[in-house]
Formats: sequence, structure tokens, C-alpha cells
Amino acid sequence: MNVWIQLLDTAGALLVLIGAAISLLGVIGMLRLPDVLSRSHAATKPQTLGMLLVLAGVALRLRTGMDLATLALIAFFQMLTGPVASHLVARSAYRTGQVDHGELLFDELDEQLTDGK
Amino acid sequence: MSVFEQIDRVLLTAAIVLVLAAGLLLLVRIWRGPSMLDRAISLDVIAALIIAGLGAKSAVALDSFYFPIMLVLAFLGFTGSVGIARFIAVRDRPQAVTVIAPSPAAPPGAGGRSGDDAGSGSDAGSGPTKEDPK
Repeated sequence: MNVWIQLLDTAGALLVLIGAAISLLGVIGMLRLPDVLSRSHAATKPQTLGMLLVLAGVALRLRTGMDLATLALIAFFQMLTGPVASHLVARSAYRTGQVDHGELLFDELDEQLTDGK
Repeated sequence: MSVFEQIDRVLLTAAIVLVLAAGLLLLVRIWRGPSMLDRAISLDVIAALIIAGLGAKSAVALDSFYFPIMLVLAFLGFTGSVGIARFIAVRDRPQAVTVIAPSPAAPPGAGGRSGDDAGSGSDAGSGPTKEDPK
């Protein structure tokens, strides 16, 4: 039984390490990608996947109810607010002309804007 | 027992080092981000990285002291980038994505650029040719 608890601890530490590595990969993608939209695509990796893995690792190491509830709340709020900010940034990038329209396969917002006029 | 704890300590220290390296690399993106929107995205990612780093620290120390700070960051970390995207990025020059890039490196030679900035205030209404979002 003691061995299983220690294995749980080590699995939690491993999850934290994997989450940190995914965050680093997302940041490297933010450095190397050329566009606002593609950088926003790379930015979601630390925001959701990396942070959720880190929180799961912490939850495996601290195994009391109150801590689990707080970690669940943190994950919930992060996943609630991340798309809002990402959507606003992408829309602002579109409106200020920082989107390369030649690279887009579909541009339904452009159709909406030109039809709406 | 001590072997497992040593393994945990090595893994968590590596995780903290990775998060710190990610934060340093992200400072590079904030420094030379061509537009304000890149910096806004970087602010979001920095909030996520702070949460991850505090989580790694809590996993090392096995305490939950920093959980309220992580909660507040997850709850309010997006307001900065929303404000930038909503109110500041509209004042950016639309076509200046490639022009702005050398400007933080050479602010003294920005004689024409300061005129640009002065003009951008009055330009805010007419610069984005698309209609105002609301």
C-alpha cells in the first residue's frame, strides 16, 4: 500500500514535468510562428493542455478534498476565460488588418461583412 | 522510500526549470512582438505559466498555500489581453506589421514615427476601414 502511494506521488511529478515540457513547446511555437493567428494557435498549448497536466499532477500529489476542489476550480476558470481572450484577440487582429487573407482557406467573416453592407 | 523521493525531486526540479525557461523565452516574444496583439497573447501565456510554476512549487512543497493565487490568476488573467485587444490594438497602424518591427530597436530615429503616432490618434476612427465592432 505504501508502494502504491509512492507510485502515485511519482506519477504526479511525472505529469507536472510533462505539462511543463508542453508549456515550453508552446512557447517555442510562439517564438517561431509568423502570424498573430498562428501564434494564438500555439499559445493555447500552455494555456490548456500544459496547465491541465500540471494541475492533474498536483492533484495526484496532494490528495485531500479541498485541494482537489480548488484545482478543479482553477482548471474550470482557465478553460472558461481562455477562449474569450483568444477570440477577442483574433477578432481584433482581423479588424485591424493583421490577417493575411491570401493564406485563408475559408473567410466566412469577410462574406458576412461584405453582405452586411 | 528515499529513492522515490529523490526521483520526485529531480522530476519536479526539471519541471520548474522548464517553466522558467519558457517564461524567459516568452519575454523575448514580448520584447520584439511586432504588434500589441502578440504581446496580449504573450500576457495570457505568462499568466498560464505563472499558474503552472506555482503548481510545480506546490507539488514540491506539498502544501496548498498558493492555490488562491492560482485561482485568482486563472480568473482574472485574461482581462489584460481583453483590454489590449479591445482598446489599444485598434490604435495600431493596420499595415505597420512589418514597419513597426524595427521601431522598438530604434526609438531615436522615430522622428517621422512620432508624427505617425500623433496622427494615429486622429486616425483611430478612420484607420480600420472596417466598421467598429459594435
